[in-house]
Amino acid sequence: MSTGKTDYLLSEDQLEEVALRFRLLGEPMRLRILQAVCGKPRTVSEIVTAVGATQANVSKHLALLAGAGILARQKDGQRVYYGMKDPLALKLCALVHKHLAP
Amino acid sequence: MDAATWNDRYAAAGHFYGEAPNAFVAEVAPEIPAGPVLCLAEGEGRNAVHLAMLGHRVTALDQSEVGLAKARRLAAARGVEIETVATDLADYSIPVAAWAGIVATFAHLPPALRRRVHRDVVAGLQPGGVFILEAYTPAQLAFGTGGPKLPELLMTLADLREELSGLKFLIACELERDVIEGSGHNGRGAVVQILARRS
Repeated sequence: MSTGKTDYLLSEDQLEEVALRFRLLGEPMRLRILQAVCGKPRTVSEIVTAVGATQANVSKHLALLAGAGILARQKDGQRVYYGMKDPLALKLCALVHKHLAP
Repeated sequence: MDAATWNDRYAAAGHFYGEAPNAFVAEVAPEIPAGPVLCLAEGEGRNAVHLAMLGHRVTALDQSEVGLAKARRLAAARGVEIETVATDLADYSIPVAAWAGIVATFAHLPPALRRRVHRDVVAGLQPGGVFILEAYTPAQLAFGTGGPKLPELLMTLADLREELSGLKFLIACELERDVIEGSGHNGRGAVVQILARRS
């Protein structure tokens, strides 16, 4: 795996950012939310139904995911839609799952 | 509002904004590295006490001595200690490069003072230290569920990016959420939330 090259070494700040990204993804409810919106953008109430949690809890996670640039928040009149902004997040989850599967 | 008004507000029984920490602060508090934390406009101590329980040495600032006395009592009831400083932010200099975390929830200051405080926040953080802020945006005026009625006391994400230049914004968004905190914040509100780190 290791090439011994140092081209890809991240700075301390970059490492912190990557670590934060992993911490944000390291929560099953947030991953459920990503699964719920990966096909197309959905409203908060659609996401609440899809993941089976309270609206307050889902809203809290949506704010963090949108704030970190993993989800995009779009307003259409009174409705707010959340969709994937960083598809890499979901790919990463699938990759980890595939790797862990027996 | 002046100290007398806040003292009156906090003189009532109970905690005006509740005893539980602000939800955004609670969510991102683990991003604060080990070390001292400064809470601005901390009122009755709900965030300061929570952060002290996470192991930080916490200094809570507020212009209301009545609020801070309640903050110390809340800390004692939770088995932790916090330092309190009763001061108007206009008369206070944030110690430079001293803080692993600085926290401000719903600290709505006059714009000139807010800009100065935010400059001092950037300088006050240690390298790697983080600033956590949640505040009402001007869109909050339409909701009437808490916060000041003067638009100039409210802030946008764009304001914050400019005022906090030098910090890296890790989480940053304007959103509408249900802000239920004691009797003071009581419903759907328009807020800005940020988590920003000093390199």
